[in-house]
Amino acid sequence: MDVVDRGPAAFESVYAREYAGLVRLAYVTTGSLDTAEDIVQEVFAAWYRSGSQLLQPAAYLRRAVVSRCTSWVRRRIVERRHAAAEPFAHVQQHAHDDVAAVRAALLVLRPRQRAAVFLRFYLGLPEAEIATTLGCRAGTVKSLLHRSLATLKEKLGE
Amino acid sequence: MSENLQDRVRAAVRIIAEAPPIGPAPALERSTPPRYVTRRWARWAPAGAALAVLAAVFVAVGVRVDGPPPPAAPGGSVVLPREVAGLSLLTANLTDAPLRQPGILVARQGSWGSTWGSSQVVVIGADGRTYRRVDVAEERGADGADGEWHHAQALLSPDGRQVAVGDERGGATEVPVLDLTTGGRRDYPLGAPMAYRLRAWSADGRKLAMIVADVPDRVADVFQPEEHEQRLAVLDLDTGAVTVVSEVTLHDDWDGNVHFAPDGTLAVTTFTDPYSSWPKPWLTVVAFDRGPAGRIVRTMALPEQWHFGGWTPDGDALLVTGDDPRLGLRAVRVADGADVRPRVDVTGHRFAVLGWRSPTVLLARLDPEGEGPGAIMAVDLATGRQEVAATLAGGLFTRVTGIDAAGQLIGQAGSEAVGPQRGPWPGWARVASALLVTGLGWLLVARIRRRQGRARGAGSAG
Repeated sequence: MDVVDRGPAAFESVYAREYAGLVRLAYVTTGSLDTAEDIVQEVFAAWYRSGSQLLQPAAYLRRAVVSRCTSWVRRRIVERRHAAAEPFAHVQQHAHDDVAAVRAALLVLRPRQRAAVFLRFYLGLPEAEIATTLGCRAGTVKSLLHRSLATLKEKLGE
Repeated sequence: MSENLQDRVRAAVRIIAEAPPIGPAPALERSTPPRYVTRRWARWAPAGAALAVLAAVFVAVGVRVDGPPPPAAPGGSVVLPREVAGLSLLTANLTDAPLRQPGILVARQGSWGSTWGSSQVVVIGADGRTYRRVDVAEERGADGADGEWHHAQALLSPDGRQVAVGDERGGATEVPVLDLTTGGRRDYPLGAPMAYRLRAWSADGRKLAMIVADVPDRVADVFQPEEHEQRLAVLDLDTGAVTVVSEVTLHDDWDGNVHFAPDGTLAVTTFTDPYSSWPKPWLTVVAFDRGPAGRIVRTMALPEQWHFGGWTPDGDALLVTGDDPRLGLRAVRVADGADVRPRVDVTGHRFAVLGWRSPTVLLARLDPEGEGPGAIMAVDLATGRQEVAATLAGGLFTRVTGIDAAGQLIGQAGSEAVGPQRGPWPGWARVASALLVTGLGWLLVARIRRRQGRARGAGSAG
C-alpha cells in the first residue's frame, strides 16, 4: 500500500464518491441498512484518524468494510440491537421472482460469500481484486463463488 | 454458469443492492484530527527515536542482574503478582531457560507485531515472579485478515504444569504440549494437516477441547473460519487420540464458548437458525462416559442476551449479559435453568473467567472503566462486590493485551508485590551490550589521546 502526500480535501472527495457504494456492499453483506451505514462511517472515521493517504482508497475501504461486516455478523449481541427488521427488508415484497430467489439465496450464504457475490455481480470485479478485498487467495475466491453460485442456481430453479 | 443465468443473477443483485434509499454521505464525526504525513522520512522519525530510546534503556537495564534462579519446584505458596509486568525484550524463552515450575498466568504482551520480539506470549511461574517467553507459541503466530498480529494460543492446564500451543495457520500436523516443570515437550499427532483453536482443558488436565478445520496448507493469515467447516474435537492426552465430537454441529461463522465442567462433561454454545436475525443459542452438554466421541446428554436454552461464561465450582452454568462496561452475572442450574442465586451486576471491560477462589468468588479479567491499565478482579457472586486482585501493565508498546490462567492455581494464589525475573539475557542483547561497551571504551581512549596530543603540542611551542 503506497502512500503519497495529498491534502485533506482528498479525504472529503473520496468520502463523497465512495460512500454510497460501500453502504451497498455492507448492506448486501449484512442485510441491514442501519448496520451498513454505521460500519461505513466507522471505516471512514478510522481512516481519517489514521491520516494515511492511499493510492487506491476504494480497494482499502472495501476491504475494511468487509472485515467489519464479517465481525459484526459474528457478534450476535450487536445483531440483536439492529434486529428490528428481517434482513434485506427493502426487497421483502419484490414482485420479481428472480429477486425473491436471489434474496432467499443471500439469506443462507455466509457474509463473505455475500460480499463475493456483490463484488462479482454488482461491481464486476475480477477474481484478483475480489481476493484483495476479502484478504484471501484467488483460489479461495473461486471456492467462495462456486459455492455461492450453486446456492443461487438452486434458488433460481436452474 | 450460463450467460442467461449470470444475467439474471446480475440483474437481481443490482435490484437488491440498490433497493435501500441511500442518501448523500452524512457529516462524519471525527473525534481526533488526522495525522498527515508531510514527508516520507518523517514517518520513520518517531520509530527511529523510539528505537534509540529503547536501545539506551536496554543498556541501562542490562546492568541489573536477576536474582538467584527460581527453585526447581516452588516450596512456598502460589503467588499472583500485584502487577503483571509488561513486555521486555530481555525476557528469556522457555527453550533456552525452562521455567522449572508450574505456570500461573499466560500474558500476551505488546502490539508491534513479532519482529524484534515486540509482541510476545509470556508465561509467569507459580512464584509470581519468573517470566519466560513461550517461543513455540510466538513462532506459530500469524497476521490476520484485519492486518493485526495474532499470537498462537498458549493455554495453561488447570494445575499450571502444562501449556498447550495452538496453530491457526493451517497445515499443522501436531499439537505441542510443553511440560513447564521439566522443560519437556510432547507433540500429539493430528490425523491430517489442519488448523485448530484450543478452547479448554478438562479439570484433570487429561483432555483438551479444540475447534478444528481442514486447512491442509499453511496460509499467511489466520484461517477464516467461515471458509471451512469447523468441528469440535477432543484430544485425549493419555491415548494421544483426537476425536471429533460428531453429535455437535457448529455452523460456519461459529464463535461460541467451550468449557469443561468439574464433572468432566463438556459444554459448548450451539445455535439454531444461526443466520437468521435471531439465532437461538443453546448450551449443549457432552459426556464421554460411552467413548471418546462423546454424546449429548443435555441441552439448555440460553436466555436472550445472555451468553455462557463457564462453570462454577458447584457445576452450575455461569451466564453473562450486557455490554461493556455494564455486565450482569448469574449462576443457573443446567437441569432446569433456575437461578442458583440472584443476579449481580459488575462494571468493567473484557470479562473472562480465569479461576475461582471459592464457590462464589471468581477471578476474572475485568478491566476497569476509563483509560487505565487492565486488571484481574475478584468478584463475589453472593454480594456483587468486586476488587482488584492484580493489575496488568499498560504502556503503548508494552501493555498486556490478553491474559489466561491456570484455573486451579490462580484460585489458591496469594497476592504479592513481586518484580519480574526474566532469566538470562537473550544472546543478541549480550552481543549488543558488549559491542556498545567496547565502542564507548574506544571513544573514551581516543578522546584522552587527542587531549594528550594537544597538551604536548602546546608545551613544545612554549
